[in-house]
Amino acid sequence: MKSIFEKELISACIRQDRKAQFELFERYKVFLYSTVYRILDDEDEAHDALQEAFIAIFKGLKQFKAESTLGAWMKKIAVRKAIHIAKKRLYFSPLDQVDEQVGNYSLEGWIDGELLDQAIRKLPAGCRSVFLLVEVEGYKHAECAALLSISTNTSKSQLFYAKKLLREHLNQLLKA
Amino acid sequence: MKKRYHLPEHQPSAGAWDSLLDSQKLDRQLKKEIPNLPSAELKKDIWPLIAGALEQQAGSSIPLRKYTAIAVFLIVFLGTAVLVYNGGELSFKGEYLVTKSRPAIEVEVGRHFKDLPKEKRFPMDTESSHPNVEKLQSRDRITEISVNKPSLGQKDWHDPGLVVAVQPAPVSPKKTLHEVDISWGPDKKFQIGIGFANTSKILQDSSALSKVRKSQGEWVFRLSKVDSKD
Repeated sequence: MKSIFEKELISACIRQDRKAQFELFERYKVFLYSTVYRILDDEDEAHDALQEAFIAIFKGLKQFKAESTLGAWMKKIAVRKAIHIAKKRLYFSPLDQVDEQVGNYSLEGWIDGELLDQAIRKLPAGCRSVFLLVEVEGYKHAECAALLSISTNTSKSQLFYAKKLLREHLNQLLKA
Repeated sequence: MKKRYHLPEHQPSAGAWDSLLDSQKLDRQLKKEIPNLPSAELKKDIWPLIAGALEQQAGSSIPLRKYTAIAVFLIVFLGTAVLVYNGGELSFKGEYLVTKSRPAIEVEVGRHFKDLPKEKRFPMDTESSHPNVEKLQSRDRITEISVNKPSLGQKDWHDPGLVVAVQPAPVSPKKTLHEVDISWGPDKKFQIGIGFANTSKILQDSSALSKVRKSQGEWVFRLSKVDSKD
């Protein structure tokens, strides 16, 4: 079963082959769970989002046109499910002025992935979701705005706000 | 430090320090470290839940398909049966529907109804049956006229009491519910039977007649000849 190609795996999943579906689940579960967990920052909600995402993936696999990679297509579904769950508590604080040059400021040291993960989890839910969608998942501001039901300008300002907070958190973590 | 080998020394580029400082910038570090974000591990085994939900959906979709197939089969079968019954014609025969839906009553008349002129068949349609039509049409022709108000003097009021002219109400001819049957024949004695009529039958007949009068449809007469047993 391990040697099965992705195209054959998709065909088998469409035929409701449970083994093939389990294989697809095993291949992508960590990748998708990591994505939804960062957005939601809650294990139970992340499990719910992943479950709903995989059911939607198996139902909609017939519509997959291979315009993107299977992983990207699945991730988009998982992100949507996570945002749907998180939407109740997503709050975008109004910002009067944002420093657009915040990305050019230096940190007081060099960070690694673990440290960055800790700092991201400290961000408020609203600006964290914008940061994750734009910087981590690679969505454009227009796409991010559509997913979160906000304007493109709000998406941009929330990203600068997230970076400002992130710099503060990272500097604190570097000092500790 | 004691040099073991006489290797040449190389100088870094002039902007090396600047480049080092630049790498400390937030955006540069984010770009470098985002791919290294740790993966989160699932704490629960959610595959049984996903498989259960998929089984449930598959189970619920099969009967729907089955019932749809049965419904389609029945529609096709009934459609074919109707076509075969009508000899290949799909259209309904309006004549059949109209004639069968009209009430048919048996009325004994001396002449055939169709032989009568139209004015006599439908007397309500003649102009004489609508005496108010002329009045209604002449509404527009009414011209305004001035009428002097009659002045009633004090002397005209002889009696302040209300005078009411009482007119007798028109009396309709009395209907009787009695029946008289008279019968005779070559081998039968002259018989007179008196009885009280069945009111429900009278009411049924009158309601059926009123329905027919209101409708502009066809009259159906069933003329039957009764042969004597001689």
